[in-house]
Amino acid sequence: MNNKSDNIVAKKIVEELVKKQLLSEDRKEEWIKKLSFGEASFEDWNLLADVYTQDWVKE
Amino acid sequence: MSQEKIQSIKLNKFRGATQPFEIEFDTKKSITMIFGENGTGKSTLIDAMDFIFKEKCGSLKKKSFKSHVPAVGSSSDDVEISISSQNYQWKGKLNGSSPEITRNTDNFSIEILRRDRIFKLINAEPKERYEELRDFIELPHIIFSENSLRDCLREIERNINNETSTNQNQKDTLQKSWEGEGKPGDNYLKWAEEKSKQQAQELKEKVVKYKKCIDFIEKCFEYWQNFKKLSEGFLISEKQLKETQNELTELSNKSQPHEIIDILEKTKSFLQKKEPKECPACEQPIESEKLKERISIRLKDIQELTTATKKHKQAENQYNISKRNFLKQLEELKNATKNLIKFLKEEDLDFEIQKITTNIEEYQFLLDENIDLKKAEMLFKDKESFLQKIQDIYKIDAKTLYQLNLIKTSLQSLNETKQKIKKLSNKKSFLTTILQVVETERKSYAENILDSISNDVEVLYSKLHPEEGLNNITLFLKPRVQGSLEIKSNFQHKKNIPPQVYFSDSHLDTLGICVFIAMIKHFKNDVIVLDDVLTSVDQPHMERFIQILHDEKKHFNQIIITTHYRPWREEYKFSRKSNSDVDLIELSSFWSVEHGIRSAQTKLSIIELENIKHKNPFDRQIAGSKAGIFMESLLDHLTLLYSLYIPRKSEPIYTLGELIGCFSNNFIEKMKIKKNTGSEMPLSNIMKDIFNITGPIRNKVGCHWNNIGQHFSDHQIMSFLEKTIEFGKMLICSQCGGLPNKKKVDCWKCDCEKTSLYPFRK
Repeated sequence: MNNKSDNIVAKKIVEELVKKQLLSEDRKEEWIKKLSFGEASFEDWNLLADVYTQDWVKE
Repeated sequence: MSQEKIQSIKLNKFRGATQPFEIEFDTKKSITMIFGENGTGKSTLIDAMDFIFKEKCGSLKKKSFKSHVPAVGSSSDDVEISISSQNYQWKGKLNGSSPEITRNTDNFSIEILRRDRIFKLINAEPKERYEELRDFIELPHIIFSENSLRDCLREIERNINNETSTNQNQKDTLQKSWEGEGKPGDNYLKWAEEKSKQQAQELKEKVVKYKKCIDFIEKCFEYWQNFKKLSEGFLISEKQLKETQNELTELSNKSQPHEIIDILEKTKSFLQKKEPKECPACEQPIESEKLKERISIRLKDIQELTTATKKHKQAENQYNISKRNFLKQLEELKNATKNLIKFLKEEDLDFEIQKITTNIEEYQFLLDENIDLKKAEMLFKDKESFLQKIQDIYKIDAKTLYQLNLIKTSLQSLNETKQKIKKLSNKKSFLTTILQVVETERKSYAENILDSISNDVEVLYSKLHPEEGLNNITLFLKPRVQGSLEIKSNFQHKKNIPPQVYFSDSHLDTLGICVFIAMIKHFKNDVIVLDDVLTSVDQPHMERFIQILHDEKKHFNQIIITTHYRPWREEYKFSRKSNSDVDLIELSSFWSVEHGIRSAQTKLSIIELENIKHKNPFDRQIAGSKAGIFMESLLDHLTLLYSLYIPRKSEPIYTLGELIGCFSNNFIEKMKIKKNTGSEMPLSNIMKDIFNITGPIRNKVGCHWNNIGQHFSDHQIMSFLEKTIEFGKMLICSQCGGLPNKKKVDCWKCDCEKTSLYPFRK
């Protein structure tokens, strides 16, 4: 199955995450790829949350 | 979308193809129509496409591939399918019970629409309905990522619950300790914080010291008990040694030397054997019996000595062991006593302990060379309760220390779990926001598609059912329910109703088809296959549906239709519907295991007439019959177009004569055809010519045996045939292959509007 539609939606999701400051600009491409190919795993999400909430604690 | 069209399908031993079968499609045409009555192989062809492109076999539903895919009398290994487009080829076979497909492109899309899909889409529950459109609106990769995000969130929630439970246990522990202390202060937390600030070091040192003291005293007790036992054993072994010594001394005094034993034993043996009267050594007379008795007594004394010697040695060994153990234990006792005295001297014991331990010097005598056992016995007997007392003091302090540590640890853990819960809650909040974004974008993608096709569905449906009061068709995902699709519309005065409530079966069927066509159009699929999809509609709706397919064909490379509905085929065959872009194929109604599926190109009526004209020998009856039927079809079309008067009948079956009778001379004079080339052709002359000869030739030659018919010459019949062909060619558009049928301002036009029929009204 091709992932053309997935890719379109992945881009929209990532744009929205960046806009909401839930993802940094430099990780956009990485996450578009992960979402488009269904490669965003449990560990990926967990690590992302760790990194970002660590900043929250620092704040 | 590519430019590919399916060009050919080759089958061998697949489903109904008991014999090798090949069907070729005209790739210059946009529509391919495969007509066949039931049981002629239509489903086999569709299953072949399903097998190759979707790796399933729709008509089999859940039946086993292995037992149902191979043709009668064949096995899985015999199955062969090959489908070609202009540039690509797909090949399929059955590997056990699974399709095995080889292809040289992935850039080709096809959708196969069957009746059961339409039924499910409209009549099924929202969840099953969603399943039918899942491939169109679902985003498998996004959903996979979303599911792993949900898993992650669930794990975090589990951890929060675990930590919260631990946190509660820690609070409970503190509260119980607080309550045990009589609930001092405002609350248990403040109390615990205060307690945790207390210095436990001093108490800890004290408890350690008590423990050491107990250990030293316990050691002394233990060694003393052992010493007591060993000293008893030592005394017994000492006594036994003395006794064996005395016995040995006594026996040694009256016993002979060892060397004599041998002589005595040999002599005794000699005496027993020979019984001599005199001594063989000194030759003095002897009394054998007396001498033997005397020797036996002496030998017995010597044996007792040997036994006593052994006993004495054993007693000596036992004594040595007991002595060694006794001395060792004595040494241990002295060491333990030394350690205790040293500990009591060195450590700064508090008052309570000092009170119990009293005088250190009491223990000093235990270090003497010879311990006064009675004094020691007295000392340890006195001190038995002492150990209990000191243990009691130790237990109280140790419990206090344990509680203090427990409070500290619980409070520390409480703060740690609080931190963990905070961190986990932050993660949860972060990922929940992300999940909302992912879910919203995924759903809005599907909703946008459904929104955009809703308009198209309504347009298509209005074309099929004009002025039937249905509008505002909406497809939408049920909120807060995953994978659930709803359809609603306005119907006459009712708003937002599910169509299933008021619609007839044919309305629901056509609605389903419109939804699929709109969806497939949206995704720009190359090929759409409609497998006998319409069976429940009447003739007018069928004609509108055919018109929709002609209108929509520009959105696809190819539309493949299978049908068993003969009127649809006849519409094309008699050019009542434009057919120049339609590839007409028909399957033989006489399928058998021996012959398998067979197909042929359907000939248009006008082409058939041309063939009859050129056939040698000329077939008068066929010419009269076929030209007559074609003429009936043309006149039927014109009478409907102009609403011409015709005798009313219970069934709309009209003779050629009745149809001809509808056309007045006055009207015929006004009739003309205009082609896009600018040429204008009046129809009056040819119509009059045909009308004069049509009836007799068709009836007398084409339909019946009679004398009158036999008087018509071949030239007359040929003339009728030629004029019928000419009339047909005048009316049928050379571009689209259809008769004029669309109302315009002053005329009727064909589908492509390049042929116009005048006048507009009679």
